[in-house]
Amino acid sequence: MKILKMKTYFFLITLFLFQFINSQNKFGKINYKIILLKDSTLISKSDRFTEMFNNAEIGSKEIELELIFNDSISKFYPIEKISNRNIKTALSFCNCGISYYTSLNRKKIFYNNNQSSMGIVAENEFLIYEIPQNDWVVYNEIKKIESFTCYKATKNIEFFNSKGKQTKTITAWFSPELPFSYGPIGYFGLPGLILELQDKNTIFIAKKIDISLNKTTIDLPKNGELISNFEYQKILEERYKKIKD
Amino acid sequence: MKKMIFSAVALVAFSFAGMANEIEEKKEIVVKTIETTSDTPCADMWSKDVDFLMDEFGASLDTAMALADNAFEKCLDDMYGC
Repeated sequence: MKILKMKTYFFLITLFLFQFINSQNKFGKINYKIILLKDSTLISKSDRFTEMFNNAEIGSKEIELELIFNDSISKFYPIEKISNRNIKTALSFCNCGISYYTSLNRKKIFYNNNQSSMGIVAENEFLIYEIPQNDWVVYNEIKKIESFTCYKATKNIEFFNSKGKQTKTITAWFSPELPFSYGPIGYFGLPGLILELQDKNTIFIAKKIDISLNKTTIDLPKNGELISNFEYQKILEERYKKIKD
Repeated sequence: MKKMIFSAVALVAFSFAGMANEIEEKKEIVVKTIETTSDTPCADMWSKDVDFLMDEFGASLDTAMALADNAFEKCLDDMYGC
């Protein structure tokens, strides 16, 4: 009877300690590199685009992105200052020249708009939000990234361009060994940190993982008129038509 | 009869003179239609780039504009060295 009681206490203490340690590790910093994939069909259509892509490919090698997070918010942003045009072009290709904030409590992604050199939108004119559906499909495919076991997951995203409503497939590799629901460019909702993500021609790959006890405070951005991504695309479209006419 | 011959000769002469004028006028028109160049080539290219990137690359408008912005700045650098 005494031994049984001892065993119960031991089990409860172990569980408490495990939960205590687990609840403490709610902060972290992940560094990502990017790889730009060539679109051979597109490149054959335009020399100008080929030059643009080649410059971006050179710039992409110098890009380092960082994901910092606590238990409710993450921020994903480029570390380097934009020192040359190749880096700037690469950042435009990967859509990662701005800071993305993910709020788990609000289930929303926030970011300020890109500044347009043609004066279509001013710097931080809008604070854009997206409410993504948590419709990830998880597969039984496994691979190791930085010694962590990762599982494959995909989701379809709708977006608008000149041909109307389009769909693209996002592929993520997440690790349940890192129980944080964040990832690059605002993606979230998987039962583990996303260590690799492919969005069209860009692959984000984790190269340094640092889960620490140091508290990380992240504030959501406040500048700009708060609008949905759909409203923002409509405004851009109208302004673009005006400038073209 | 003489009057008729004179009238016929005059008619032929005037029609030749009229044709000669027409040819000269046509030449003038050809010269006028040549000049068409833009004074904002970088801006024109920007708009073409945006359309190309959306139509062929499938980029959204904001991505297409961000990429075209870089090409626009390069174009200004190449033209004016600023």
